[in-house]
Amino acid sequence: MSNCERPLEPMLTAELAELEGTADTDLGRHVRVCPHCSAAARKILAANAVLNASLAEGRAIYSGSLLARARSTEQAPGTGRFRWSGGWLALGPTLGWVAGAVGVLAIATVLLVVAPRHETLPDAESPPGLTAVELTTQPPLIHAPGYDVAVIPTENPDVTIIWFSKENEDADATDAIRDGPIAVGPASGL
Amino acid sequence: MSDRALDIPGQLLVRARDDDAALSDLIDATAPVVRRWALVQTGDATEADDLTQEVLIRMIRNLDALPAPPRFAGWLYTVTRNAAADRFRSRSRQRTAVDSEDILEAAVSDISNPASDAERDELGDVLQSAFDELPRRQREVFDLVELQGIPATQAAEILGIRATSVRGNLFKARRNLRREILAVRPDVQEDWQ
Repeated sequence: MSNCERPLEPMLTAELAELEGTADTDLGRHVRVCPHCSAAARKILAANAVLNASLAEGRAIYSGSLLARARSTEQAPGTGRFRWSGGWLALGPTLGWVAGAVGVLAIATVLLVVAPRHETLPDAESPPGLTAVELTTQPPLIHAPGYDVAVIPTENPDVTIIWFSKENEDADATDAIRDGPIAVGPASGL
Repeated sequence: MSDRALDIPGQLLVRARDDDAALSDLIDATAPVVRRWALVQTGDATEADDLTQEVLIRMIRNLDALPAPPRFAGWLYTVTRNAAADRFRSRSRQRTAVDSEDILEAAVSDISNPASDAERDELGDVLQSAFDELPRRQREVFDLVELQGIPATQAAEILGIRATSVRGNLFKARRNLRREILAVRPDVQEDWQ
């Protein structure tokens, strides 16, 4: 095999027809007459054939069994498929329901926390045994120095409410006893 | 109109929806092509077989929505590519081409200039490792255009890329692979250096 003065690069990127010597190009014509380049071209073409054969080789696939498999494994109702970073993760029906329930619960929790609350006060209930008294007349007022005193009877004849109020608004009395009601019973001595 | 990459008549796709015999013909016609694409994607014969079945099952389930032949090859290739990506996203590619060793040797033995057993083995190893080392796009283009003889424009449609991109990737793939091929025979390359 004689040496060839031509550079290698064109052989590395040549079209197949040029390597086969059938192309009417400068390289194609050269390959036809140069034993050295012709040998290299045959080697490249043979390598292609080897690679092509290895890629084409494969196990036979029986369409009947494939059809049966495709139809028997149709996605069943309740089977969820979730996109996962590592691929498709098929979940079984039970696990799918659990995942769905957890999701709904999470949404409901968020809504409860975020939603504004409208709290209603409980109905005012009087302690058992006590009944408000409808006063048809103003209670009698007794004037005392610096104070007005109201005497309010209740349904219980033994209990009378005596209400002290400041006569002078500017008087900033701090004596709570003298600025509020006092329940007076028979035993109080009043 | 038939699809040159798959050589499937458009009417077969339509008949396959209601006719099991036609569907079997469709499977028989597409399985080798899909399997080859899967092998290019995965580099593993066993994984390619599994992937082929997965893709064909998807095809069967989507019979009513399959695009007509000019776009059918692209649809099928995309499904194959995506399935491979999903399946092997976290795995590194490993090629176990034990199954193809016999074919490899038989093909090499047909070379007009017979080589020694050692050289044939070396060629096979170099070919497989060199092909595996190529970027995925270069492997796809090299297989479709260089090995299967599909025109660059049609390969571009299948792959969903421009024809210029196909030619660019083919250029790089040829140079990378052929450099490895010729390196197996130092006597051939030394003459150029």
